[in-house]
Amino acid sequence: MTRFFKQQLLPTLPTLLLALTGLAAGITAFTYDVGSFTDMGPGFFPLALGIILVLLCALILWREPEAPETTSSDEKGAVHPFAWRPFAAVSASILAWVLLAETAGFFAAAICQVALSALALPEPRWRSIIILAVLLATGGYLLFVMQLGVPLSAIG
Amino acid sequence: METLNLLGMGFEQALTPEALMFCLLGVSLGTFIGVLPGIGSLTTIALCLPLTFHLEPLLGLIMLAGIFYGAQYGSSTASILLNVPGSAPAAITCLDGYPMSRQGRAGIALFITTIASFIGGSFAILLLVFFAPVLAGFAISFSAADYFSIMILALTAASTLSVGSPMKGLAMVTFGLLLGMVGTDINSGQFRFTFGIPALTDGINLVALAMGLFGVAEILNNLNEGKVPQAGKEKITFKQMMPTRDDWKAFRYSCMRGSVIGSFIGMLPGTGPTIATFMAYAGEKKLSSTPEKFGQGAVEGIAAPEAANNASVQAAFIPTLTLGVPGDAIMAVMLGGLLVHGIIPGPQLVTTDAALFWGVVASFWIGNVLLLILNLPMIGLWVKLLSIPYRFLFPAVLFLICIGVYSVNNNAVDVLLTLGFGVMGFFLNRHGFPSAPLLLGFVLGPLIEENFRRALVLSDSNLATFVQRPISLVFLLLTAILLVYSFWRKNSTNNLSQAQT
Repeated sequence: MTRFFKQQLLPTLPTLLLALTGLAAGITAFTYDVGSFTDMGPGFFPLALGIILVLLCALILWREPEAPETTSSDEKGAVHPFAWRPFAAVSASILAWVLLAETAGFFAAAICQVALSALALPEPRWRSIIILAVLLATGGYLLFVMQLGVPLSAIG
Repeated sequence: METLNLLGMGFEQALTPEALMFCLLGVSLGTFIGVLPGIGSLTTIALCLPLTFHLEPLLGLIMLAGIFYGAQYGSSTASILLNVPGSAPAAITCLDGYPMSRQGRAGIALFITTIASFIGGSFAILLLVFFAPVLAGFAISFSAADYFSIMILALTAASTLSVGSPMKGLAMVTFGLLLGMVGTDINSGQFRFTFGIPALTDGINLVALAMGLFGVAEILNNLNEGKVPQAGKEKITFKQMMPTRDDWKAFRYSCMRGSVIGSFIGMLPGTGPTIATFMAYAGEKKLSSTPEKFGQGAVEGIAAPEAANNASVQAAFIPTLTLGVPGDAIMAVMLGGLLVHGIIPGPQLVTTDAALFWGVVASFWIGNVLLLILNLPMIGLWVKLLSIPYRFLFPAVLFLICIGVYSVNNNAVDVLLTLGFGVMGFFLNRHGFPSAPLLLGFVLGPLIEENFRRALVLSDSNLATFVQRPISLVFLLLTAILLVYSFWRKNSTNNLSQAQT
């Protein structure tokens, strides 16, 4: 089962998810007024796009079934295996900002955000990270809050 | 003569102390992020977009454009010294730039790429000055059907001509168009795909989408790959930069050919600098009497692509400003920025907003001269930048993304969306789905729907209007040819391995 999952299902997963998105969009579009060519409703274009997306995904599955993992950034086309650590750290870092910015204040949010992002590294050097976090938070506060008037309080 | 008068007026606009300052700011920032591998110019432009909302449109556009072409100057530095492109179009410069650096000719390579960039850029600006008003005059007669068809052509070209699977590109463009539908339908007032989230009623925030797909996804990818290469203690002095007589000889014509190819590719809707550099390199290799030298440090191999790179970037402003049809994702973001300012790029822009149009064009000249100064005597400074460790860079960029996205609407939901788009982009990229067509589709989505609707209204709901109008017919036929070609060919021949052989 796991082998089937890894070799067959996983490579086609993005295509399947895109197809599913197209399908969902098409179905949702039906709840709006679709109209007709003579009188296009708000659902007309989304419905058409949903159908096209599903068709394209079907075409991809048919013509490129192996769907090799390739990244555009790597010149050799090699894909590095997925690593959980940086992925989790970056996600946690952004989430911390989302949760803290309006509740705990600019400085707490910024420092937590920068510190959490450093967890992406195998061996974070905490002293330099904390210095960086404080510098960024101060500079960011001066530019975005003081200068550009973003309504966030410094603390809490 | 009139053109020159208008250009003179443009220089008056672009030479004010404020405009000069924003131009310098833009090109310096562009060179900065161009030199650093791991931060793209799209991320930077999207980051600066909210800052420009507080500025006059002209100043904002001068700065954003400066980042775009400044980054092209900077991006060859990492290609030459580290064999890592500072941005995607500079990938081809690695092929001969890095061997030159290994032979101790890094200084010469840097000098040549800077001069080639300058010549390519200047050539395309000349074209912009004389050709854009003509094109605008021609496009003034475009109807809604023509616009619909040219946008379809642009989207098809952008998704099928890039590196990788054309069908995946098309799927991403369609997905982008769908994302563009999110928000309030302007004709009926119907909320579409908003799922009861108030932040979505005005549509998905462009900055959040661009930052996620490019900024966050880029960081996730870099960290996943483990290490971003760092420079050793390279020292480049001005003395080492002087090319020999043979270098100049090789440089001359290839630089000119690169400028022409780049300008042409840049003007086409839907084709960006990456294609231009690949084509310029392939062309040089085919023309050369010593093709075996390519990949071993041939001067032609860096001069032509770098000239093409900058020429295409400057020429890309022609369709964006005169037709409102952007050539690639970066121009799409800039188009989005103009729309926020209430400026609708199109044939009218050249006449009704003449001060803006000519001011921007004049600032390109000034920016390119500034870049020449920044990149020749001060090259040592930029090379030093390469030693900034990525472990400091990515937390800083992530921080700027968070606060930058937040500042657009002072809304934390947008930041959450950015994370979502970042994760989505990261996984889709890993499976060969490119992000650039999605962004292009997103920006053009509402425009395409509106023009489609308008064309049908104007023609009493006759679908045949799209093939009865000759201009529209030509664009649709080109689209059909592209589609058939890419389906038949299955995988792009424009990839790096093919350019190398």
